[in-house]
Order: sequence, then C-alpha cells, then structure tokens
Amino acid sequence: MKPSISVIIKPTLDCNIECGHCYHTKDERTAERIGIDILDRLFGILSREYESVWFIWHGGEPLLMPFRFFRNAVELQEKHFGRGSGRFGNTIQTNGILLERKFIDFCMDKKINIGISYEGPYNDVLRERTDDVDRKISRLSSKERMFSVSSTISSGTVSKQKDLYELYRKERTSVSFFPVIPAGCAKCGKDVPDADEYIRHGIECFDQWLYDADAEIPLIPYYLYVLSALGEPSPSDCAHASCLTKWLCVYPNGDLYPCGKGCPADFRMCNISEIESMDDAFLTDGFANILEGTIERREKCMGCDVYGYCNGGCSIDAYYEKGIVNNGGDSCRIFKGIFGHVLSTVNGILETRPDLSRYNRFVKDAILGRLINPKVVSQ
Amino acid sequence: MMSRDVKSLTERYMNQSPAAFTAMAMSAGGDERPQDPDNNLYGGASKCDYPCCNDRGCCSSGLWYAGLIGGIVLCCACCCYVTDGFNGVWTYWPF
Repeated sequence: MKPSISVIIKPTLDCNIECGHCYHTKDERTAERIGIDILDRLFGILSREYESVWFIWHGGEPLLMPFRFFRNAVELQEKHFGRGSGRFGNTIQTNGILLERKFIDFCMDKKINIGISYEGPYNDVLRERTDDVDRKISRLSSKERMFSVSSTISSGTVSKQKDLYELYRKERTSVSFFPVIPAGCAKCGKDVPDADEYIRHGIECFDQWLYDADAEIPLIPYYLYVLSALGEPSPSDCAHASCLTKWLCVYPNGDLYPCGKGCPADFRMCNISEIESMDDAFLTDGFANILEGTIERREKCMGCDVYGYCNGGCSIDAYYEKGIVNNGGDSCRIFKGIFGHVLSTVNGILETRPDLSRYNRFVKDAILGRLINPKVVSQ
Repeated sequence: MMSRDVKSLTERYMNQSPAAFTAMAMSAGGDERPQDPDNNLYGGASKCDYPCCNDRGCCSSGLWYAGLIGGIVLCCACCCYVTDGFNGVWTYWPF
C-alpha cells in the first residue's frame, strides 16, 4: 500500500453565491450532484491502495448537498476503511451560509474539520451574503466554534492582513491566507493583489504574529513556512510540497484531476468508472501533461536559493500566471519574498539564541524542537 | 489512456525533489502491508455488505451468530413460561 493521499471531492460545482475569485465560471457551476455510487467506487479503490486518505469536501458549495448525503458518505468511508481505524479524515470547506447546528453536531461527532471561506469585515469585497454568515457564526457558542477560516486576499484586502489576523486572534480561530490567482472568475486580474504589496503586508503580518507571545492560533501558511525553514516537511502546504501523485480531485461526474484549483481540460486524468486502480489514473495523458510542464518549469527553478523549499511552487498557479513551464509569476515572487524573510528570521534565531519568550508558542516550540533534536534534512 | 512513458516522467519529477518524497515515505513508517485482492484484511473475516456486518464492514464471527440464535431461543422459552405455554397451546417441555 502507498502511504497516503489527499483527495478533494467536489460533490457539486453549484453554489449559492458568486465569488469574484471562484475557480469555476458561471457556466461550469451546474446543478449536477455526485452519485453515491461514484463515492462507493472511489472509497473502495482508495481503501485498498492507501494506508490513509484525507478527504476535503469542496465545490461549488458542498453544503448544497443534503445532510443525509454526508451521513451516507461517512458510512461508506467507515465501511471501506473501518470505523475508528484512523485511516481516513475529513474537512469540509464551506462559505458558511448553510451551516446548521445539526450539521455541526454531526461534524463534532465524526471529527470532521470545518473550514469557512470568509474575510470578516471585508467579506463583501469578493463574496456575498456576508450578513448571513455573520449571523450564523455569531449564533455558535464557544464550544461550537470549532471551525477554521480561510481568507482569500485580493487587491481590495492586500493591506488588511494584519487586521484580519487581529480579528481571528481575538476570536481564537485559526486562519489561513491565500492570494487570488488569475483563474476562473478572476481571470481578468482586477482582484489579483499586487505582488509587492502582498509581500510587504504579508511580512508585517508574519512579524506581528511572530512577536505575539499570547497568540493562540497558528497563522497559515506562515507557520508552515517556519516549519519548512526548520527542515520539517509540510505536506499540507500543497503548493510547495511537490503535490503531484499525492493529491487528487474528483468532480461531480466522477472525473479525476490532479488538483482542486480549477484545472484546465488538458489535465483531466480520467473518470473513476474507467479505472480499477489509482495507478491507472496516474498513468494517463492528462497527468503526463501536467508532469511535463512541471518538470520543464522546475528545471528552470533549480538554481534558485529557495527551490529546496518551494519545489517549483504550484503548477496551476504557474499555468494561469505565466504558463506552466515558466516561473517568476506573482505566486513565485510572493513566496520568495515572504519565505525569504521567514527563513532569515528563523536562521537569525537559531544563530543568536535569544530569549524565546518573546515569540509566540508555535514558533517557540518549533525552534526548541529543532535545537533539542537537530536534524539534517537535505533541501 | 496512456500514450507516453508516464512512469519515467513521474520518476523524473520525484528525482527533482527527493526530500519531498523521502519525508513522506518516512512518515509512513515503511510498513508495506501485503496486497489483499479479496479485501480480506480484518482477521480473516470476509467483506460483508449486509445489515448484519460489523463496524468494519466484515462478516460477524460464528460466535456472534450463535449468540443471536441462543438469545432468540431464550426469549421464546421465557415467553412460553410466562404465558403458561402460550396460553395452553404449547403443552410440552418445560410443562
């Protein structure tokens, strides 16, 4: 058996709002819903071939599926992988509008993580029905606030990263930041943040979190950058962890893609009904297409100081920015700029060994771990 | 579906970032379970799609079925005793 794989499942591309940065254009957001037979086949193949699988329910808006769909899906997972086996886990990424207490109770019972796509007071910049989301979140008691937030940073919010961090810090809610890329509805580029502005404000936000000794939340992806700078692998930072063969995306009709970021048709691998093994999916022309472009781009990247940390970055970001065979796009520049700062900060701490109590506990623990157990990890 | 040497491409890709794949292999512990085409992973029990299957989707053991039948028999015996042989219909043991 292979060790593990992360699988994004889009049970529908349909959605109850129209985000300005959605990977899927209006034409693609049809009412098609995934069949339970597709899930049964998918889980059967994965359970036979992987030690563990992490499922991320995405879309569209996954909560447009009825509650019984998720109950049946988890029952199928338990049937194929074994209840309590520890061989599978779930995360649901939602806009939060359709969150109900019954569903939250179900998620708590089945240990399903909930991620809400939300930008707080700036939510209206990219999304809609902010009042509905605010109402839902405010009604949740502190025990029920077991969700994390994923905030997409656009040209309208690029200078607000510190504000957003402060907000979620107060709410003690984990947050992650990702920039808009020129794909899908954001193809025209008006919502894509300026790379230099993003770097400047991203560094400010990182420094604020770094020196926040009372911080109770990790700040993603900057916390992952700290771990990477210390030589710890960060597979959850898919963009910089050589994701190909470790991630898969399933569309409502059973089509398989290497990634959930709105892959072009060229990278469509196959349909789940056409294969008996995931090995077959990773031997298709579609997968070869993304491999070839990625290999060519990474050949150009290898002389770069941060290649060992970024592994050539995200192929889909590169595809939509300057072409899959080219680096130097905004995503590349943003990573180099912010990670460069994180790396020099972490190396400075390791060299000078200052009083670690000035740093937040996440960084402190990671640094202490490195100092106590130094590892040599070739980059 | 395959018209190129995708295996070679995958190998080239992995060789471009060996640390990313070494780390993954290390985290898996190198535990290679044998292939099990019959999905016969759980103590010899075979896969079961019926309502009687256990939590792991496997057939319940013989002991489970014996216990079920024994329970039913005991229930009937107790019922028979309490109702005086189902109101006189059953006149045999234990009457």
